[in-house]
Amino acid sequence: MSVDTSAIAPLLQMRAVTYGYKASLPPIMEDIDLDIASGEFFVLLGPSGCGKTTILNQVAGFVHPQRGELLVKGERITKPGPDRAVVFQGHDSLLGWLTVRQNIEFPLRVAGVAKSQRRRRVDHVLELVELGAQEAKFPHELSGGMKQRVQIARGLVTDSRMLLMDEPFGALDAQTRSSLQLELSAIWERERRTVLFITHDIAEAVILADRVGVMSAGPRAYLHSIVTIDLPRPRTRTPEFNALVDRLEATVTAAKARRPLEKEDAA
Amino acid sequence: MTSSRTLLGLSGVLAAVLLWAAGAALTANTALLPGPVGVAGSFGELLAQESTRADVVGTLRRAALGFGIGTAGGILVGAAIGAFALVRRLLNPYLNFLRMVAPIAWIVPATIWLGVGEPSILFVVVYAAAFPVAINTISGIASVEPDKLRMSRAVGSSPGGTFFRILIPAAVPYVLAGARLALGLSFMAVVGAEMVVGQSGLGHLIYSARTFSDTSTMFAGIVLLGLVGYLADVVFLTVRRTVFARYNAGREVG
Repeated sequence: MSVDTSAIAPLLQMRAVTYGYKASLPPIMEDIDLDIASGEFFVLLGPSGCGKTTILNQVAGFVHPQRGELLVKGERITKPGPDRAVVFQGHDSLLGWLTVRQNIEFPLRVAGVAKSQRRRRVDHVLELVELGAQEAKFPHELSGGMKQRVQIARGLVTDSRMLLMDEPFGALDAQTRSSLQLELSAIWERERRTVLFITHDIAEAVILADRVGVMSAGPRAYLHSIVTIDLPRPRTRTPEFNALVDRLEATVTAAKARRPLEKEDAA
Repeated sequence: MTSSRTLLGLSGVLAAVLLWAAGAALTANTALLPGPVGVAGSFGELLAQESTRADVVGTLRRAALGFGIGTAGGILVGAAIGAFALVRRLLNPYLNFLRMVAPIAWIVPATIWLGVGEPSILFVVVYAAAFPVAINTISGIASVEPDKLRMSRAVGSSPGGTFFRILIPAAVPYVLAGARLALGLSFMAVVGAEMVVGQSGLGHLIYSARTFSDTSTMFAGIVLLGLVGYLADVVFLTVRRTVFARYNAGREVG
C-alpha cells in the first residue's frame, strides 16, 4: 500500500536545496527538490559521501542550506524541533545514567508532559518495540539491537510528525538488522508516522519504503530518481521483491556514474 | 582472590614496619627516629586523650567544609568554562595561573584579610579543593558525545535544559575523579594551614609535638592523620559506588 502523494499537501518540501561547507568549494549537493507526503515512508539511498546524512541534518534543523529552503507543513525549518524526532546512527545519543524507561521518557519531560500521561505514552511505545521487560535496565546492559529499539521508542513517544532515521541499523549484525527491519515496518503500519530513512542498503530500502529516492555521487550530488515500491507488507523475498532490488541496483549504479538509467541497465 | 590480595597488602605493611624498626634500631636515637613500638605507645596515649578527639573532629570539620564548598565552586566554575566559550576565554588564563600556586602560599594573605583563625584555614582548603574539580569538570563537559547534545536540541531543550539534563550528568564521572583528588588535597591543605595558624587540629598537634621535641607523639600524629585521610577516601569511594552508581555505566570504579 503506497500513499497517494497527489491528494494531500506534502508534509516536507525541499526547494532547490544546495548545501556546501564552504562557498569557495563546489557544493556537496545542488538543487535538490523533494516532497514527502504525510504518513509516507521515504527512503533515501545513495553512495557514501553523497550527502544523504546532510539532507537529514537539514531536515532536523542541525544545519542550514546555502541556497533553497526546507518546509514542514509549509513552514520554513530554521532550527531543530520536537515535531521532527531523530534516530541516530550509533548509540551515543542514549543517556547512560537513565534507565530504558527514563531515556524514552526524556522528550516528554523536556516538553513538560504530566506524569500520568508520560507513563501511558511510554507504556505504549515500550510495547510497540517489545522492550517492556527491559524498562528498568540501563543502556550499557542492552544489546545493540535493543539500544536502537530504545531510540525508535524515544522517537515515537511524542506526537512528532516525522521520524528522521540515519542508518539506524548500519552497525548491527545481519540477523538483528533484518528482524528490526520487519519490526520497524510493522510499527510504521500501526503508527503511520512520516519517516525519512537514510541507508545505503538496497534490500533494506525495498523492505521499508513507499518510495526510494536515489542520490547521485557527489560533489554537486542531485536526486537521480525516485522509485515507488508497491509491495504488500510484510515484505518477503518474492520474485517481485527481487525484481525491485535488481532495478534499484541498476539505478544506484547509474546514479553513482551520474548518468541516466538506460534500458540495458534494467535488463 | 580477595583474601590473597588482603594477605599481600598486609605483608607489605609488615615489611615496612620491620624496615622502620631496623632503621630506628640503627639510628638508636628516639628524638630523631622513634621505633614502631614507641610510636604505637604514643598513639595509644593520643587516642586516650580527650583533646585528641577535638583535634580529629576539628580537622575533619575544616577539611569537609572546605572540600564541600571548594567542590561546589569547582563544579560551577568548571561547568561555566566548559559550556560557554565566552567564559572559557575570560577565565581560562586565570585558572591555569592560579592552579599552579600552592594553596598554602595563600595562608599569608588570607591571615591579612581574614585574620589568624578559622576563616583563613577554610580559605586555603576551599582553594585547594576547587581546582582539581574545576579542571575535571571542564574535561567532562568537553567529552560529552555530540549526538547527546543534538538529541537534546532535537527534542526541543533550551540551552539551560541541555546544561542541566545532559552536560552536568554526563560529566559526573569526571567530577567525581576530580573530587577524589580534591579530598586528598583538602587534607593536605588543612594540616598545612593548621600548622601555621591553627590553635587546634591534627596539624597543630603534630607541630606542637615537634616544638616540645616529642618526636614519638609527632609520628603518632602523622599516623593518625594518614588513617583519618584513608578512612575519608574509603567513605568517598563507597558513596561513589552506591549513590552515584548509575553514572558509572557499569564501569568498575574504586
